[in-house]
Amino acid sequence: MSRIYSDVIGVPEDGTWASRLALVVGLAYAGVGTIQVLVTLGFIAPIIGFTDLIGGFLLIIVAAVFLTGVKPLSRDEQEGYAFIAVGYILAAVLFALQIMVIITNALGWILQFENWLGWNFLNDLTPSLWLFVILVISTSALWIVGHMREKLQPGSKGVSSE
Amino acid sequence: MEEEEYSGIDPQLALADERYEVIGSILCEVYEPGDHKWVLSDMLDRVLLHKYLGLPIFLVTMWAMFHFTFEISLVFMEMITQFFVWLGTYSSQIPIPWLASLLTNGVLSGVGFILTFVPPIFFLYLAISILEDTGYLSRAAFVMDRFMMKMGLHGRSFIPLLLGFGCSVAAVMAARTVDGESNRLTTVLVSPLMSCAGRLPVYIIIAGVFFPEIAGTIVFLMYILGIVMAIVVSLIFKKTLFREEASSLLMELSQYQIPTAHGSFRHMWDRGLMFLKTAGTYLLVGSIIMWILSSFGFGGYGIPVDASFASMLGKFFEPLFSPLGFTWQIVTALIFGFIAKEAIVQTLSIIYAVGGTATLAVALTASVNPLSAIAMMVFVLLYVPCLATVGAIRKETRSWKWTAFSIIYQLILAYLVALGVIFIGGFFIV
Repeated sequence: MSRIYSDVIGVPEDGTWASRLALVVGLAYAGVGTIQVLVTLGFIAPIIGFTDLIGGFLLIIVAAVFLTGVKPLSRDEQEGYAFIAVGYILAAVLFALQIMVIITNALGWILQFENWLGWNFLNDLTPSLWLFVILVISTSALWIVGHMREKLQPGSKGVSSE
Repeated sequence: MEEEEYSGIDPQLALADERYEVIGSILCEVYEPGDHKWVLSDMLDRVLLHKYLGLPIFLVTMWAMFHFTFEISLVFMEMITQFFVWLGTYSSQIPIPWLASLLTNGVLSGVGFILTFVPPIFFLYLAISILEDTGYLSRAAFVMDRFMMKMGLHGRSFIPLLLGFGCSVAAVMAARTVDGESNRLTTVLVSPLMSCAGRLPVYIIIAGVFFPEIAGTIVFLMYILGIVMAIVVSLIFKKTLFREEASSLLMELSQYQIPTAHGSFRHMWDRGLMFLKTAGTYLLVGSIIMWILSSFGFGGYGIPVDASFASMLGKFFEPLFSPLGFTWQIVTALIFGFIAKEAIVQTLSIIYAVGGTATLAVALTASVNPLSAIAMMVFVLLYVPCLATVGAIRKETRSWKWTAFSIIYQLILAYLVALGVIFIGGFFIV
């Protein structure tokens, strides 16, 4: 693990795009988390998958991690990437957990156990699951766009490893 | 002059300051600082040990651990249940009635039932092993230390307390690493308040029966309540019994590691094996004793369970627990829980099985309301530690006085907090 941070991740020195990503992702998690809390408290009409109050608060915590990284990233400070990394790890943990829940519930349903007879896949599609998918897609898209720009404009700011 | 400079400062902090000053001066001569010398471990620590985010991230990790423990294990628990139900169909057909009852209602309903909790207990140990192996658990102690120091408590105690998630005996024994006699004693006394794996079956069965939609969250909240109570009680002890200065926490945080599957599963197996050994020895003997107490009375074998010795024992103490809404069956189970916490669920299962109730879930729903069910979880969390832990407390404190104090204060605390749950919860849950 004892590797040089910038070598491992290859983060750009310009944190503009990263700060925008952290801001958008943070706001998305905060928004969805708040909706989940409001739904479970009964202030908003029920939505499929928005069933756990604590789950809503967890999304808000993940949002707080991303949003805390916006300021340092906008100032091109490398420590801002730490917030994106940890936010990613937390979001990935919640995602992986939900995947495992779906797999075990599906197993119970296949084996036709009594408590799983009424199981519905849609009920397990929680925000922690699809938000992470959106997060991965958006980050990948940003990474691809960044690399394309770099190739098209060789004179522009490159990655730190260069 | 240096003595004057450091007067009033913790000697350990002064020593650490000196040490790092020397290290700093050497580094200035030999090290060329650069922009890209930040390692991944430092990067993660910047956030995981963050002043404001550290604690919420710790809570997310805890929730993930208990959600994993509960939700993932449900289907495997059902598989084991189905296996013992299948075995029960054969054992109940044995032509000798008392032997059929002993095997079906005693051994299978007792040990068989407690074995259904093998998956969550193994998953909990796996999660703890992964957290330990990554290096996060020591960070969790560091994060909590800041919080505890603000309350005037000794942060070093949190490491033994974290061990209490696995087993209270380990937590009590680890308290010997805490500096200062009073600090050490406080840690020994509050360690059993941390929820050990033995209490997990009680939470799982009650949360699963009464709050199936949010069962994982309920289990998580019980563990959080254990931490909160440990901090509150430490604070009370600090203000009343022990007035020693808080000591600082100095710890080397190793770099984060990616846990290996072999290492994590090995740790899980080693710890889980202890549970299997307990189930195969003490709990097996306990289930036979419990079956005898539930099946026999002054009228001999075959009397109704209401007239059994177990019933007499429970009914004797039942009036004490009537404000909490506990039936005699629960009271008897709590008494046997003093031997081992796993025995609570086992005892309940045997009593209801001998009484002819189909499943423990059905019996609990019929005899206890959701509020009393929460009170029961809280009572189990806080009341007297198991016999092995009491032995460890006696060994570590070398005092019967403090051992007795530990038992009595926990009983009173458990009763009062459970009563508080009934009183306050009455406004929210009808």
